[in-house]
Amino acid sequence: MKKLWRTLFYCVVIGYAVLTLIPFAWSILTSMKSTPDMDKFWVPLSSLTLDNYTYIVTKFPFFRWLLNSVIVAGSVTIGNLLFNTLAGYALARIKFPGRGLLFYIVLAVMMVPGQVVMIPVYIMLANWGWINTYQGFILPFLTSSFGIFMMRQFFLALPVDLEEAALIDGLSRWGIFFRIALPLAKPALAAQTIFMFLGNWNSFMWPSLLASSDDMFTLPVGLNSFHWQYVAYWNQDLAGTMFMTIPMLIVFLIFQKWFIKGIATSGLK
Amino acid sequence: MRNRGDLATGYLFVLPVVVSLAVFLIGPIFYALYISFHHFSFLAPDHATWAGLGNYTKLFHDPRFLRALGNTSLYSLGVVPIQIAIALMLALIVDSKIKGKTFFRVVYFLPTVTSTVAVSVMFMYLFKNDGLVNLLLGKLGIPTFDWFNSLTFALPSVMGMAIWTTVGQFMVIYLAGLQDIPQELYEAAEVDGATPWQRLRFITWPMLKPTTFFILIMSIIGCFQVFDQMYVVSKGEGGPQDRTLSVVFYLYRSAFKDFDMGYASAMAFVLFLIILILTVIQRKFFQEETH
Amino acid sequence: MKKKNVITGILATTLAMTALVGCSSSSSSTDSQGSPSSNEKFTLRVGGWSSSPEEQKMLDTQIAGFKATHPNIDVKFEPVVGDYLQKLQPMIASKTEPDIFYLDANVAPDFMDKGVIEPIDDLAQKHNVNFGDYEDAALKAFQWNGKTYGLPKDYNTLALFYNKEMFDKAGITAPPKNWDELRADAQKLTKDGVTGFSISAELPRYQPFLVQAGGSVYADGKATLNNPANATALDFIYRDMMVKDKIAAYPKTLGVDWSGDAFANQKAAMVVEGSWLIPHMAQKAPNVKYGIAELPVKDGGKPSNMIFTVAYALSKNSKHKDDAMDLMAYLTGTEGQKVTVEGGLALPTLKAMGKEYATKYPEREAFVKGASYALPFQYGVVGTKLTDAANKAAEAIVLGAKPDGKSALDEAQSKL
Repeated sequence: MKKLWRTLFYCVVIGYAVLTLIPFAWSILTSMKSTPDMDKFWVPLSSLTLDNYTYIVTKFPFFRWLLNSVIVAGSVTIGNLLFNTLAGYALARIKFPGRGLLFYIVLAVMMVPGQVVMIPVYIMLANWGWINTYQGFILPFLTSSFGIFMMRQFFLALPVDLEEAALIDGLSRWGIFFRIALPLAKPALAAQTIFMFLGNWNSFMWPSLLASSDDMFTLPVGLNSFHWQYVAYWNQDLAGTMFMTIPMLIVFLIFQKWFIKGIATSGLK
Repeated sequence: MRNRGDLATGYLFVLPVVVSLAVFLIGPIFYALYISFHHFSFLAPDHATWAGLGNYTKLFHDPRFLRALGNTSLYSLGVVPIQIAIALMLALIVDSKIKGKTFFRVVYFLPTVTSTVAVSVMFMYLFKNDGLVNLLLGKLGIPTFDWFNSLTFALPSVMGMAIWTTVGQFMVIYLAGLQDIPQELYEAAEVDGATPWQRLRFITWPMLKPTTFFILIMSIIGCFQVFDQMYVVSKGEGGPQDRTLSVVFYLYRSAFKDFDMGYASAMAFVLFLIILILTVIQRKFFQEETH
Repeated sequence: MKKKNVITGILATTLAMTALVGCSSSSSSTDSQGSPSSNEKFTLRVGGWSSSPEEQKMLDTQIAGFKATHPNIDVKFEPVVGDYLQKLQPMIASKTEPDIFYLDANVAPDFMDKGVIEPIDDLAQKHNVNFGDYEDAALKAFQWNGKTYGLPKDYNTLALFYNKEMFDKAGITAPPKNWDELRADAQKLTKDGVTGFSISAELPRYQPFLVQAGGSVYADGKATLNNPANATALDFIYRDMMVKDKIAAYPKTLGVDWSGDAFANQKAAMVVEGSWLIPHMAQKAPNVKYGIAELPVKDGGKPSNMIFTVAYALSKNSKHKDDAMDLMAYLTGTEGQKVTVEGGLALPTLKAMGKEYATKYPEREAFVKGASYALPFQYGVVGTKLTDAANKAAEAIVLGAKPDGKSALDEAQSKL
């Protein structure tokens, strides 16, 4: 009986792993098939080629899209790390008139779906001439109420003794923040980095609204327009898809411990 | 803690956030509210005319909006429970004493780091008329369909895709919840001779309640805002026959295709209201349960 | 490639189906307060969707021709990749749109009605542009309340493309002239994985058949989808030929996005498309031998067709309206349209040039003939919604959501 359960258990474990891996495996395989072989199920290993990849990166600005994605996701992440942490710290530790109000506002706007402000922000950016610009992609997203909330909760849970001692020693608030609080906040910062970076790296609706020339596309937008154009050639289409997916998978595999820890942190409290 | 100059420092610390919230969130929320009460076309903002509640009442007579709302609800009803069930199952698996725990954890998490657009393209390839899925089903003698172009299966296919993509993320959150459960509880239960099922039912599940609540809210909010997959899969159309048109998708089309931003803004507020109500209901429900 | 223009209208959203060619530079200097007589150098910006290399080359030639005679003017084409309409709107709203830009007839009423583009009647007169020189149907698409808002740059109509080899094998000697022949031929041609006839479930493909049967979809500013005569055509194509007989298919069933691809892949023996299919065939299926014929006409009905056209519109915020008008006049004038005829991707809108096109490409006379009895693909300000509803009606029949044309069209009408 126990053995039966064990077998069943491993069937589920391995079964779901296979279910997860097949789409990737099949896509990678197809992306390496030549166009005549595209619809064949079995092809000899020797006929697999990287031609589709060279084709797409020479014919389409995939590297430019990659660069744009790095610039946008990178800047947004750095901005969020800095600003959310500063604000989260202030909300947790520094007493100033209006602190309570600000905290409630942060809580309240967390509930508002992004789509509500999408239209006004779009109009505003259009009036500023920020459509199809990096600042349009980046500036509206430099802070996040969720990030502020997370950091506040984190600092609240942190023992205050160390900071009080430093205060008595005459360290300024800035000093305390940068020398004491920030180093202690590493796990929360890691979590934020991952959230912000992943979220922005994969973000689609906003950049596709804002980008009008292909030199300003981010990877998801570029991939989508590429896909609409080349749907008849699945091997090239999937080469583009994998071009966008594989770097992220590698980053994930290297930092997987942090990823998983980071996401887990968000669920606490 | 008090410190001279704290006041100034405090304001300085929150200044960027205050500016950013005011400019990109609070201001726009009020502007959106204003727009939603007007016949507002982006092309001619100066000609905006007062619509009163017109945009809102129109929503409930608009069969397309009702269809979009229905699709979104159906989508959430399907995705949320299945997603949570699978996530919990996977979390229990990778939390148990199996070999290659880390490997499976990493594998299950892979889809989460993949962009929705990429996942959509991959699934369209797998599920196309002569794709791998139909090939395998055909070999097994199961009827095949043109999944994403079928009236019956387009929405379920998108749902399956969404579940596949997001399960990993919730699994990890559950995992964190599981590791917070004191080991003594299980030891005590073992002494009392509880079966594994009983341990799950009477220790794990109740102890995970806060985690489940968190996941439930995240999942529902995410589901009600679904857009990317449907947009890519239907090539910006929401087809076949609006079967993959979600509320956000329709909002997007109304604003940027039909030039009707007042109507789209009204839709955004209705969506906000729905999410708000659902969150409040859940909170009530969960609070009562735990008391 | 005109295919895009059509699709814009047809699908309203699918403009992103464009070739990823070229990069735009969004900031060109238009600051100089140049008047036509000034010798100061300045730049005119031209907006449009990015397109095939062939079409890009044509435009480059046209622009070079203009620059040769206007040494003080630099002309920059700024292609939009992706959804053109959605990208054009914020430019207009923020008054940063190019001096002249493409405008599809199907969406033009929205722009004209809201008065967000410049009427050109006076300027045209000043620059000796004679509206009478243009194909009437094409020009009319850009007139609204007595004013003219653009000069049509080229146009397209529909025709029946047929695979000659398949016709020979099936023993068919001539393309079908009427509906009965179409059905009989499609029956003969459907075999060995080939479908006899493929047509999208879209208004801008089926409307000619609908009009042949005495129907109409738009009259006096209103949608008339539930006109009782309309159901005949939908029943014939989508219910009878597709669902019942299975001798016709819409592209998605054949695993492609548009019937042109089904024709190129030789999955369909006959398709209804515009002349944009010709360069597509040359590129994708150079060895397929095909013919182009006028659309089959219902017995006892009048022939009908559709005209798809795009104009250059003038920005209200241009600082060089006079020169911009000059450029528009050049691009759509004899010089510019000579290039259009050479390129052969679309038909020229100048009547005189149309004759040149017909002599240069005798095998394409179906398109020229079609224009003489074509209706514009334009339905006032309800255009996008009407098209959308009408497309869905046809699709509903194909997918079995509606049993026949009447019920599908009644529902479509009720949505408007």
